[in-house]
Amino acid sequence: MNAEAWAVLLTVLVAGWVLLDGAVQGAGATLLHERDPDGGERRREPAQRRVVLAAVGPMLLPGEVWLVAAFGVLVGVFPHSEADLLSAGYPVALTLVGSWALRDAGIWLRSRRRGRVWRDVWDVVLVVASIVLAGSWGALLGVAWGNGLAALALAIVAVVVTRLHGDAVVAWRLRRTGPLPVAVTSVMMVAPVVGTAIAAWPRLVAGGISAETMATLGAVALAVLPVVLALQVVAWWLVSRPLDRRDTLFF
Amino acid sequence: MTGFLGVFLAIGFGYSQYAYITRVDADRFADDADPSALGTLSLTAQGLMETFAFLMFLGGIVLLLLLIGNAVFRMPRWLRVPVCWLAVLTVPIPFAVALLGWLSRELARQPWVVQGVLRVDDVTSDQSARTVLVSLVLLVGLMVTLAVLDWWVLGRLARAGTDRLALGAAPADVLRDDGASEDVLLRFGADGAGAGAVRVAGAVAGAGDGPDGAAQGVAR
Repeated sequence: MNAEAWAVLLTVLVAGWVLLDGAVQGAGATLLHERDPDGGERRREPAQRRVVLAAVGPMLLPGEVWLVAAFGVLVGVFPHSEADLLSAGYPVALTLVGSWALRDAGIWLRSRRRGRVWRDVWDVVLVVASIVLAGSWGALLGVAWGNGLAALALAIVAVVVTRLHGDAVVAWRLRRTGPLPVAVTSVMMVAPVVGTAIAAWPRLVAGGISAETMATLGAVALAVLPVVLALQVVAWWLVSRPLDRRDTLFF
Repeated sequence: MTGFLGVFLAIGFGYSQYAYITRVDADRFADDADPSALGTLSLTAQGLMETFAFLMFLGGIVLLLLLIGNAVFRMPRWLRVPVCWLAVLTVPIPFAVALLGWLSRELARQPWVVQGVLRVDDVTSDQSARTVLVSLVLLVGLMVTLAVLDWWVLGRLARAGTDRLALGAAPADVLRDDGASEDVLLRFGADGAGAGAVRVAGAVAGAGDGPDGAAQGVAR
């Protein structure tokens, strides 16, 4: 695999994370309130929050796999870009990791105890951490543009679009709508990633590791990819089923 | 069982690395070696790692054998309590062992980050020491807080016993506890279809009293 193929793989991995984890982030950000059909905001009752979390729950771990794999490619194949990104965007990356940990802790821990206070506190943590996670992800993309204004704009776009995406995925899993809204929000989620990849392309593909090392790592990646893809197909099959009585509610 | 197999593999792979380590660190393992402070720390971490790993291995055999015929639950109390504590310790010890092994190698190869290839000076970022310190304190603080919370929640779950574990259940049961309305419950099969026998029994006990039962479920 050459630098271009690795860059495409990196983009695909990041796009996969944005699609799957964006749904979890969006559902987390909108956990406490939902929009009425007439445009107002309505507070979600505990059972409705539980249904929302159950709808996106299966996406949590299969989604994070993509980010770990993407970061592996970034560190392993494009260490120069990783250094650029993390030295310019150090506070942003720190916020991303911190809010990521808190978001996951919120999802894992909130339903483990029955107390109302326990759940309400974790729900607030989950909402705030989900919004911060989406925003810091958008800002990190903006850092890759090498521009503070782009970071701010992409952060706002990410926060808004993840909410729409989360809503769309939850509605689809409950079969309140068809898959079309999810397709639309998916395109909206992936567009900034592809745009960033195009903007950062010249700096990304020039100056990575040596061609021989890329080829060697490529052989490993090509051997591992079919397994990863097969597992992802299973994950997507699980997610594309409607949420019903056969599911076990964990989150 | 998984932990026992895991420690078996970890020790095997660990010893297979000695062929490489004794070659690159030949002077450190020489008989007349005059160890530096870092080298002494590294060897201490290594010794602790090996001791803990072998204790895990031996403890794992004992714990596995004690599962035969539920022996662990038939032992006299003075013996059962320490054995159960041994089982509790098998949660944090593998993490400590892994960290000790990592610390041992990291300390031994200073000033290299990749032995003989890349120096630590060449790979450190240009962030100020203050920024790095702040991020370290924030992340370590967050992770330690979450680890303590996790441990506490696990302890509460274990003490609550196997009855009504908050570790996933049929949608109808979970949503009834959370006070779902009738139409939501109906959608998720509140009639008990597809749910296990135990769950049905629990559902029947909680059903019929509507919002009151749901409120109790939340309060529980």
